[in-house]
Formats: sequence, structure tokens, C-alpha cells
Amino acid sequence: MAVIPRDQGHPYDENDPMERIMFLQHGVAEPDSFDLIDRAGIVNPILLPQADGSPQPTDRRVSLLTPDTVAALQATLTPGSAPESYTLPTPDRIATPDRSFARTNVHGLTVPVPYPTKAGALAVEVWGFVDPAGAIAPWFPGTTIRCKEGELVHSTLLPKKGSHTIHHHGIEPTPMNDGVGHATFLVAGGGYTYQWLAPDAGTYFYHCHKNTVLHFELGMYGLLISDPNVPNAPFIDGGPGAVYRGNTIRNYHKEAIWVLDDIDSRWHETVQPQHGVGAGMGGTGVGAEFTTIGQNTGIELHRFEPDFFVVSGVFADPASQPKPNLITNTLVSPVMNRGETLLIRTLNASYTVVTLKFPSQIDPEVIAMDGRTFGRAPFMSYSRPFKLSTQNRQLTFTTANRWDLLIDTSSVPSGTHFVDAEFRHWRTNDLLRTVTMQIVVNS
Amino acid sequence: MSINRRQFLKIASSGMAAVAVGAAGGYNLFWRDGEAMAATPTLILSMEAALMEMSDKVQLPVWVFQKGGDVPRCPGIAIFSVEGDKIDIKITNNLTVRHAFFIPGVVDSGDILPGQTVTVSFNAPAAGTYMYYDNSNAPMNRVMGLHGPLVVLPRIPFTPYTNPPTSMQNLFNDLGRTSHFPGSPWDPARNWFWFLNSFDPIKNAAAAASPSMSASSFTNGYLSQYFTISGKSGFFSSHDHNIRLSGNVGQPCLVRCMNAGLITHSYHLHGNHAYQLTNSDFDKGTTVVSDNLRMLDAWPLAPLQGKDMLVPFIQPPDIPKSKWPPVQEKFPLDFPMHCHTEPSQTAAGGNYPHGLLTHFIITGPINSADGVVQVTKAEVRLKFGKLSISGVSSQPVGTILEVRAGSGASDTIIGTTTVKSGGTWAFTGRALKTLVNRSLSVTTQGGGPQRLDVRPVMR
Ligand SMILES: [Cu+2]
Ligand SMILES: [Cu+2]
Repeated sequence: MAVIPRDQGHPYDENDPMERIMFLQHGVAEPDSFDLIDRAGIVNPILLPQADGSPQPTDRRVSLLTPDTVAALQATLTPGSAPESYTLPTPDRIATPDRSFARTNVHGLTVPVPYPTKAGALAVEVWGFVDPAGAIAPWFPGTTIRCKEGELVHSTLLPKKGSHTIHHHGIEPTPMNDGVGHATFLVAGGGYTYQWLAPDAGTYFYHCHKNTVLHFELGMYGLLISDPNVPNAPFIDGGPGAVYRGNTIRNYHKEAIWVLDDIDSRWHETVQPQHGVGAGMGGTGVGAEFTTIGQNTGIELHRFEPDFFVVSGVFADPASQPKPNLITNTLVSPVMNRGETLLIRTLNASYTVVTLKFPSQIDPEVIAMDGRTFGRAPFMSYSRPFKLSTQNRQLTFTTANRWDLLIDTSSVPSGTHFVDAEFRHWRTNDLLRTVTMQIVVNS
Repeated sequence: MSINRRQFLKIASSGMAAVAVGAAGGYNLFWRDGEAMAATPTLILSMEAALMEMSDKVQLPVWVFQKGGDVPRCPGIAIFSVEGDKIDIKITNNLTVRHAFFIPGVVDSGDILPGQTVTVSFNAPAAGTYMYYDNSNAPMNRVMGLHGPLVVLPRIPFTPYTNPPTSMQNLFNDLGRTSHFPGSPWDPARNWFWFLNSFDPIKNAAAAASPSMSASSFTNGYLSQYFTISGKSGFFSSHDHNIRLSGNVGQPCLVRCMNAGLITHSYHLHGNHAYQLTNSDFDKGTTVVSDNLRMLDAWPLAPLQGKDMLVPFIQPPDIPKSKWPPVQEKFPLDFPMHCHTEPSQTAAGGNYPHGLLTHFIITGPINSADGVVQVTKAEVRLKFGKLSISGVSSQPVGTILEVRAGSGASDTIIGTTTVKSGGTWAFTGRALKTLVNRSLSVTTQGGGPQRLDVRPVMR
């Protein structure tokens, strides 16, 4: 029977060393920041010297950086020094940023859960990001990065427990500053400073992009907000603050942050502890770059069956009162005085399809998606904000989508209004959980 | 990875292995550097069994639509046509149970029995993106691989649609012609497909062993191990010119996103946000062409959903302006596009990132050699025998354009015009020859990278 090859029409030659290195660096041998300074610094069985003793070409270094830059990096190297002592310099670095952040990753800490996990525990390990100069808790989701549109930002990752990255999601800098392991490099040793301009005002997030399937699920993410360039910005999470509506600045009194996530406790208590942070990253050794489905028994990162549902770090509890799975934390479920304006920033950080359903008393206006404001010149002049009532007061979104909703409470009756978030399985569309947020309006 | 220039150009001008169907009169599509996709009057397809190699070399049984004289592919070959043209497709079922060829709202072959050949004829529907697939024993036969894209172009492909809503018309008017979109207008040859499917090896083996098994036993307990974009995964989809996007700043492109599989995905593009132009339901056969254009970095795609996205190829906006073009980093700037519902990034339960992902490559800053000619209006007034044609071009002012009657080797120059300041051009002439040939082409005098073919409107 005819075979459709995996490289149909675009042949991959395993015997061509350059192609082979490209192939390996895509998956099992993603270079880290130290490898970009000096290949010889890494011990990776696949990248050991070739049979004739000559070093393997490091095409990632050569494909990312100009030859002069590579030579300058190598000149910084002291023979025999350990990778941990090196910080990869940021290419095309501007010495004086307008704003700087630092993040390190948190691991090994657990959070309590309202009912037993798959292994019967009442706590689950989650990872996260914090400012190394600040407090450790809360770390899940990670401490918000908040900047002002147009600022030059330096965001430094100081990794712990192996290598990680930060991808500032929705922000569009150069590849070296984009934080994608398989496309560029993982941050090891002394860290790396990502350089970018604070993007169009709106809602973004940041997350680790190493073995993303696992590290993102384990909790390595936080919100990133770019505020308009107005006095007092950047603002404090929760409000008050200001946003663009079209080309106009609108003030809001309160800001609700709905970061929707789901957790498969198997991934946290079995996959990661038993198989390590590299679980699911493939095999090692020439000719064994892939693991088989049999070798991945117990890892199975294609099998995601969440048993916990979380909004901005708060676990939904089916036993909660007065409604099951009601989140009452005021950063999620605000209390408003009638007439005030509420901004809701919502992010789907889960691996499920989520539908938000607003009650008939509330008709939010959708003012932005994915950090792009409807009606704002020039790039969004082909659009305009719209009321959620034009789509049954519902929105359905998938992983990484952000919707910004503006609610003028002067037309909302006083009382407690419930907004449901339905989490549905990506394959079966089965309803896994309905979590409820509330908006309280006092007259 | 060595690919010669000729192959590259062919690929670059269609975004997938492709065939043009319909069109009498030697009409051609997508000229670029002397390469054209020539139309065939009748398309021959057969339904075949094949083995499909996954990124880790595991082979799975699949069923595919195979073009006569071609190798098997999954998805099947991309069919291109022009709105209103008659399309004839002759389909032979070389499988062991009945199958069908179906485009919702357009054509339905009904049962094609094993060994039977059926010819379906239909007129190419409204310009846009369609999915052809086997709707029998749904969704099993489709998910087993019997699917592919149909693209219908408007007679004048200034946008991908006929009479688009105002906001979309404004967007295409602005490409290459405003300060926020420096570069060129959209070139209809800059067209790609991101066509999704997934594979559960256990289910594929079961269906191959008993092709008449019920669709519900196929879908019950379905657990995908492999996730493909235009038939490939991981390294292979990332480095295939057919799948990964490439171009200089100022070369906007269209990506037709389609999902034949069973899983709701979430495409995420790095480097640029993209405009969502359409939303299609390939189950009901409906498409909404948007008048309120979202600019997204992530967009959902449910089973049998389609979205046409315009990637503007702007300078990545969050690079400090004083560091453009970069000095220490070098071109090409290589960004990923991946599904953000990350279990789709795996193969065989692990092997990250060998799932549903590809790349988006910015090969360089704006290059004046990338000039594009576009037609905004072409009409023949039958009563006066008069042809008027006008458009825009990102070539330098004074560039001489040749207007040709006909399309292909036998065309003749009927006149010339020049690109004016503001990037516009216009030509008026006698219509006789164009009436005979029913098509017109516009080329740059002395040779240029592009040649644009249009069908004038008869009035
Ligand atoms: Cu990480
Ligand atoms: Cu992301």
C-alpha cells in the first residue's frame, strides 16, 4: 500500500548534519542560553561530537545571531566556568529601559484543594512565577506584569530547577525576545532579559514556553496588562483605572480578573513527580529521538481529563454555598455601587472550551479581544465594539483567548447577578463543570 | 531540505499541492515568476487506501481522495476555481464500502459504491473557502482522511470575496497604501492552508479492518495521539514551505484555516496579530464574511469550522523602533504558530513539540522588488465595445504595465499604462479581443515577478 511520508514534498535527509541538527533542536535538543554562548558547555548525548571527533554545527546560534555577535559572545567565556555563572546578553539591547521586571519560578509548593485529587490528596502541587524581590505567595497565577503602552520593558527570567522561558503572550518582539524554547532557546544559568515595547493597551499574559504542554498546565503563567499611557498608569489590579474604548479613554471603578483554568491532578501528582520536568519531551540517543506510546505509559500528555476548575487561582467547590462552584473572592466577583463602571478582563488559561453566560440583567460591551481594542486607529479601524446581547449574552473561547468586557452598572438592577462559566471537553464537548462568578450591584 | 527554485515558486503560489478546475479559454491562476497554475476541464479523483507516516515514523491506515496521476495526500489536493465556472469532477471509489463526495450547500454525490465512478458537476459557488469531504458514516470517513479544500476566487481577486462588506474592503484598500501598512496590496498568490486533523491509531486500525463499523464505535473513546496541520506535524510542518508562512514585511497573506478532525483547537500566531475575515460552518454549508474585523493572536477552530485569516506581515510591533531592522539578531525572523490547547503539541503521548504547529517567517524588511499589481475594477461595456480596467500597484511611479487580452501563451498586448503617484493606474481600450478570450492579464513591462489574471464584468 502506498505510504504518505512524514516529509512529503519536502524531504528531510537524516544523513545531512545540518538538517539533522535542525531536527534535533526542534525537539529533544532545544538549546539553552548557555549553548548560544558555547556549544561545548552542554552535555547532551545527541549533540556529542560526531564520529570523526569534529564538533556538531550549532545552527541555532548561527541562524539567530550574526557571526560578529556569536564571536563576541564566545569572547565572554572563561574556560572551565560553569554554565550557571553566565547570563546571555540580550541582542540589540537598549541600556536604559522605562520599566523592568524580574521573575523567578516557584516549584515544590502545594495549594489546598476542596475535595480529593485522583491520588486522594487534599493538596496539589502547582508551579508559578513571582518577583524574586517580593513575597512567595500568591504565586498561582503568577504575579501580574503591568506596564504602560509604549514603554521599553526589560523582563528578566531567573530560572530555578532547570531551564524555563517566559513567552509574553500577545506581545510581538524579535524571536530572541519571544521566549519560545523550540524556536530559539531555553533560559538557563544566570538568566536572560527579554526586551520589548509595552504593546497596545489591553490584556495579555505570560507563560513558560518550555515543554509548554506540561509547564503551562503546572501553573507557569500570570496575567500581563498594558495600560493606556495616561497619568497614574500602570494601575493596581482590581481598579480603579482606565482603558481605551475605541479611540477614547474610559475610566473604570473596578476591574474583575477572570483567569479560567482547569487542572488534571494526574499531571501534577503523577506525571511531573514520577517522570520529571522533561516528561514528554522525547527520547535520547541517535535513532531514538521519539518515545513510543508504550514508553509514555503514565505520561500520556495527550490525555487531559481535568478534575479541578479554577478562576484566578481560586478553586471551585461543588459544596460551596449558596451555589455550587461559586467564586466569591472580590477580585473575581466584585461588589459595585450602581452607576459605577466595571471592566472584566477574562483569559482562558485552561485546555477546555469555555462559554461565559451572562444573565439577562447585564449586557456587557466587548471592547477588546487579544489586546486589540475595537475601533481604535489605525489597525482596528475596521471594527467597532459590540454588545454581548448580539450573541445571546454568551461568548465561547479557547485556550489563550482574552476578551475585555465593559459594564456600565447604571442600567443594571441592584442585587446579585450570576455569570456562569461552562467548561467543555475539547474532544467530546461534554460539560465538565459550571463555575459561577457573581457581580453584586448595590443601589 | 534542499528545494529548487522552481519547486519553491510552485508551492509558494498555491500553499498546498493544488489543481485549478473549470475555466474554459486557457485561464490560469496565480502567476509568479513565470509559473502558473493551469486549469484542467475535468478533475479526476479516486478514493484510495494508504498508509500515512506520522512524525515518529509510526504508520497509520488512512483513506484519501487522490488526484489521477498524483500520489496520495491527506488532506486531498487543493481545488481552485473561479466563481461561476462549471466544475466537473469524476470520482471513482476504489475502497470496499460506499463513500461520497460532499460540499455542503454546493454538491452531494450521494452513495458511490465500491468500484463505481460518478461524475459530479456544479457551478463554483460564491468566492471563498470550502471543504470537500465524505459525509457518509459521519464523521468516521472524513476523519479517516477523506477531505480536502476547495477555493473559489472572485472574478477580480482584489479581496478573496465578491463584494466584501465595507470594513473589509477598507482593509484591503489600505494594504500597501497607508502609513500603517507600508509595502504591497494583497497578492492572491500569497495563499496558504492550515488544515487540521487528528489521529487515534487504534480507531484508524479498527476502521481499516472493518470499514463498515459504526461511526459511534469510531468516536466512542476516541483519544487522539497525533495532531496534524495540512497532513504534517512538528518538525515536518514547521519546515515545509507549503505550510509555514514566509515573506518580507509588507507582503500580507491569506491563511485558510479548516478543521476536518474531532477536536476544538486554538491556533496561536506569534509575531503578528491576524485579521479574521470569515467564519464558515462546513457542516451546514454557511459562511459569514465579516464586517467587524477582529485582530487576534489566538482563534478557536471547532470541528468542521473554517476561518480565513489575513496575516498582515507588519514589522513585529513590539520591537523597539530604534532597533529595526535588528543588528545583532538576523533575518529571517522565525516565529512559531501552534495550537495553544497544548495536548495537541504532542505525538504518541509525549514528544513535545511534534504536534500541530508550524512557523511564520519574516524573511526581511520591506523590499521594493516585491511590487504587486492589483485590479480593483475591470468591465466591458458591450454596447460601446469598450474595456475599462483600473487598479493599484506598489511598484514605483512610472512603471509601465501591459494589459493583455487572454491568459496564457497566446495572449496579445492591447495597450499599456503607467503607475501614477498614489499607486493607481487605469486603462481604457477597445474590447473585442477580450470578449473572445473572456479574460485579461496585467503584467509589468520588461518582466516582473507577478502577472495578474482577471475576468472583466460584462455590462
Ligand atoms: Cu517552564
Ligand atoms: Cu501563549
